[in-house]
This record gives sequence, structure tokens and C-alpha cells, in this order.
Amino acid sequence: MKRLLWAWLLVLPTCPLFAQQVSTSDTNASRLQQNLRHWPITLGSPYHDQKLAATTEAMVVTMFGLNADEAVSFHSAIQNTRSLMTAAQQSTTASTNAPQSSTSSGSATSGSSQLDTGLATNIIGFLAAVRPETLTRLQALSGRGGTLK
Amino acid sequence: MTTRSLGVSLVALAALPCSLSALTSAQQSAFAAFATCISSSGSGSTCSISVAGTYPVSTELQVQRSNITVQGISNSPSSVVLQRAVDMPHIMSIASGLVGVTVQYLTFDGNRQNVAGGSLNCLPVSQTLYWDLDMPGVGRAVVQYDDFINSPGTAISVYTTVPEVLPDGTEHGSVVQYCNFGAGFGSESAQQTGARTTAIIVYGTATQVIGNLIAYAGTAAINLYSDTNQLVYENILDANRYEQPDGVSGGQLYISAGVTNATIAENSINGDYWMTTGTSTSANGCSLTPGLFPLGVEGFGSGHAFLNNWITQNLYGGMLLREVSGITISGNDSLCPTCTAQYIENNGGCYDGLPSNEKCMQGWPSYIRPAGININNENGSGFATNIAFDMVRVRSNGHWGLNLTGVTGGPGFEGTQCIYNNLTNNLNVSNSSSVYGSYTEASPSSCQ
Repeated sequence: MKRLLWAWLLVLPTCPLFAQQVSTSDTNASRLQQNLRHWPITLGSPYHDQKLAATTEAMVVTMFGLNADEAVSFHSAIQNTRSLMTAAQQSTTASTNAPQSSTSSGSATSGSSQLDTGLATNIIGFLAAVRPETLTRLQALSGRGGTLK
Repeated sequence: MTTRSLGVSLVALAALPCSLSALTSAQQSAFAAFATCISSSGSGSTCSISVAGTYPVSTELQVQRSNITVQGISNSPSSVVLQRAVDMPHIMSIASGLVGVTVQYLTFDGNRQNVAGGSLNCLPVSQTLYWDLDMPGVGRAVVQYDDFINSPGTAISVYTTVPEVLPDGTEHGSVVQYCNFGAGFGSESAQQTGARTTAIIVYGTATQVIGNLIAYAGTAAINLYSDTNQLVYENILDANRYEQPDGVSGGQLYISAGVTNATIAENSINGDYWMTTGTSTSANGCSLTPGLFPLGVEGFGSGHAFLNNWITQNLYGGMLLREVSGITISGNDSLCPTCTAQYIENNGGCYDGLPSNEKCMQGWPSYIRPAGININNENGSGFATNIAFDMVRVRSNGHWGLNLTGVTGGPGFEGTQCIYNNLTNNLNVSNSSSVYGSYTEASPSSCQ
């Protein structure tokens, strides 16, 4: 339950209801969510070299200090992302190859939107599955990235 | 048509790919609108290509406006590919003096194998003056969530001229973060998509390189070329120094002599046991100089902090520092106090214990032998001074754990260290200050 609460705290900054009350920690949590997507996208992408992806996944697990259960959750997030990206790719290909009309770009946008939503769910699920100390570590690592004012 | 709209159209037209017919009408429209948007005549805060496709770029795309986001499709960097179509130095550049530019969700394809009849594929290092994304003097920019593949030279050159000063007084320069370099693309393997030379070359105060995956760059993955206060954090470097067109062994991370106060923390630098001995050509068909072995880090300069980096499987060695001063090497990291303890381990495999069999001497003076950490001023012409070791973790490296030659000044070893199971000696010291002569090993339970 405590983990789930943590995960939802990380989600809050993305909710419009809370948009007017974004604190520094909320900003950092939002940044963590956004930056953490990089790894499932990179390692789950059907475009990327699968051998390199496997090597890199092991390195990320070590870098993040994930235990066995967390590594399984991380791997699931990657596999889910792969499915999402494959579906988005098919949607995009269909819209690109279809006769051009306003609905074509609508289809591509829809695929992208589903990917965005699915990724957010993936990351929330992963963060809910990790130990508090791992969450703290991830915040210090992937929550650090730079932004513009 | 007004003069202004004619100007916009001409800008867009100039940027259109020569093989326009290969694109659908929707793609042509999207690309033209994008080119117009990023130009000085554009408007709006976001310039997007929202139609997936590979866009041949025959005229450099120049971002000419401040405070805009330049992007492909959200969370899908492989969907919009900007591909070099002709022999030109840059696919995209961000004009000098701009501020507040973000570039995201795009793939930059340098197309080294195909453009100009393939003549850019295996360029000698002296002719690799290509930067696929060029930021020659940006006030501050963020490059994030992009892919870089197939550069005939350097994938990205990033230069901060005026870093942002935060309320706490810290400076933040331009950032390259959460991008992929040489990660493969479709049927192209990761090896085939690595840059011919450097993936990221860094200039400017407080420029940051964070969270990137960089693989199979021909020379260094990251080259800190000049200036101060740069941060290299949470990157994964794998099997860089792949083609080594410069003809000598070198570091996956290279820090030039003119750089000061760089912080290198929480990176994973894996050589993947790569060497050019026994292999005559790269995956791209480029000739390889035999007998070259990567280092994890090769560094010069002063004031640097190396904090809790995982450096492994680099056959020449983990770290080689020469002409350095005021360096801290630590297993502790104030940026991430709770991070998992990482080791400099399993490097230096080109040394098998018999000096007559050392395989990694090409291009280096014979006294620079493999080690987990080698700080070396043996030839006496340079300097190596004021080094601090604080809970360094070095194990299972070929030849030495630490080699310190001609190192002067203090403080030397502080606290306890984890240095064990290295092939010849854990610590080899010569011609150095007494503070480097011995250390206290931490308890085994502290060295896990």
C-alpha cells in the first residue's frame, strides 16, 4: 500500500487538478517519470538491436541496483513497451500508407497517444513494484536530468 | 503573395529533400511546415513533424529561433528520421546565440554507408568533419529522447556559451540527455549504426551529458574537449572505440587537457572485451588497425571528480590519467548517496601476466601497462599531482589494481579502500610521494 501511495505521488504532477500546485519535489517526480521512459523505450524498441538491448538491460539493472524481483518488473515494463511500440508502429504505418486525408494523421496521433498513456502506466507500475530505497535511488539518478526554465 | 510569405516559402523549399517524390504528400507538407517553423520566419513554440517517415535532408536544417521545441512524434524517436541525403557537414544546426531550444523525439541518420556513393563510410579521422547535430554556440539547449545513427564523423557537437545560473548559484549549461547513439535501426545492427568517430563532443561551461546509451562509436563515446564544470552522469557506454580510425588505443570517455572540474559519476563504461586484434574489418567494412584495445577512461586536466563509476571489460585498462592535478576518485557519490556501490573491475585483459606476451602496447610507451586505475607520469615531462582516493573499489583487473607512477603532492588515500584480487599487485607505486605508498583495506563486508 505504501509503495502504491509513493507511485501515485509520482503521478500527481501529471494530473491537471494539481497543476497549479507543483512543488520542486513534484517537478522532480515528474522528471523521473519522463526520463525513466527512456530505458523501456530504448530496450523495448523493435527498431533497436536486440543483442545490444539485452546487454544494456543487464547494465541498467546493475546501475539501478535492482533486486531480482525488481529486475523482473523492469523486464515486464520493457516487454509491455515493446508491445505498445509495435502497435503504434503498425498504426503509424497504416496511416502513412493510407490515402491521405484528415483521418490519416488522426490515426497516427491516436497510436502515439495510446503509446504515451501505456508508457505512463508502465512506469507507474514499475515504480510501484520497487523498494523505497530503490525509488530514492532512481530519483537521484533519472530524476536529475536538465530542463529549460 | 507578400514578401514575407515568399521568404518563408523559399526557406521551406530550400530545405525540402531532393528525392521529394519518395515522400507522400502528407510527408512533404509536414516537412515543409517543419522547415518553415524552425526558420527565423517561423512562428509558434513547437515545430513538429507529426507524420512518420524517413525524410531525406539535402540542405542543412537550421534552427533559427529561440525558445522553441523541435520534435518528431512523442515517445517514438524512430518514427521520424532525418536522413542526410548529400555530402554536407550537418543534418541540423542550432544557430549561435539562441537560447531555450529543445530537440526531441527525432532520429538523426548520418547515412554514412549510402550518401555520396558510400564515400563517407570509412573516412580517415582527419576528414571526419561532420557533426550530424551541430550546436556551435547555443546559450542553452536541451537535446533529449533522440536517436543518432550512422554518423560519418561526430553525431553531436554541443557547446554552451552562456549557462543558466540557478537561484542556488549553480550553473547549468546545455544538456544532451536520454538519447541513443549506435543502438541499431531495423535490420542494421548496433555495430553498423555507430558513429565513425565520437558520439558526443562537449564544449562550454556546465554542459551536461546525462542518461544516454552510447555504443560502437569509432573513437570516444564522449569527448570533453574544453571548458569547465561539465557533468557526465548515468550514461551507459558499451563497446566504443570500435573502429578506432585514429589508429591508437584510447578511452571510451576522453577528457582533454583543457578541461577543468568535470564531474564523472554513476556511469557504466563497458568495453565488452573489444579489441581489433584478429579482426580486420568492422561491421561497416572499414579497415581496422590490428592490436588496439579500449580504455574505459582516458583523461587529462585538473579538478575532476570520478564518483562511483562502473568501469569493466576494457581490455587495455579501466582508467588512464596523465598530466592531471587535483583529482578525486571515489566510490562515494554526493549526487547519489544511495546508489549501488560500483567497481572498476575486469579491465586490462590484454595483459595475461607475462610481459613478453603483452598484447596492448601498440601506440603507447611501454611503461604504460594495464591497470584498473593508472595515473602515470613516468616519462617526467608532464605532471600528476594531488590525487585523492576515497573508498575506491578496484578488483580483478589485469596487471595492477592501481598503478601510480611519478605522482606528487597529497592527500593520497583517505579512509578505507576496496582494492583486491588484481592480477599482479593491488597497488604498484614508483617515484611518488609517500602518501601514495599504502592504504587501509576496508573490511570484506564493506567491499561487496
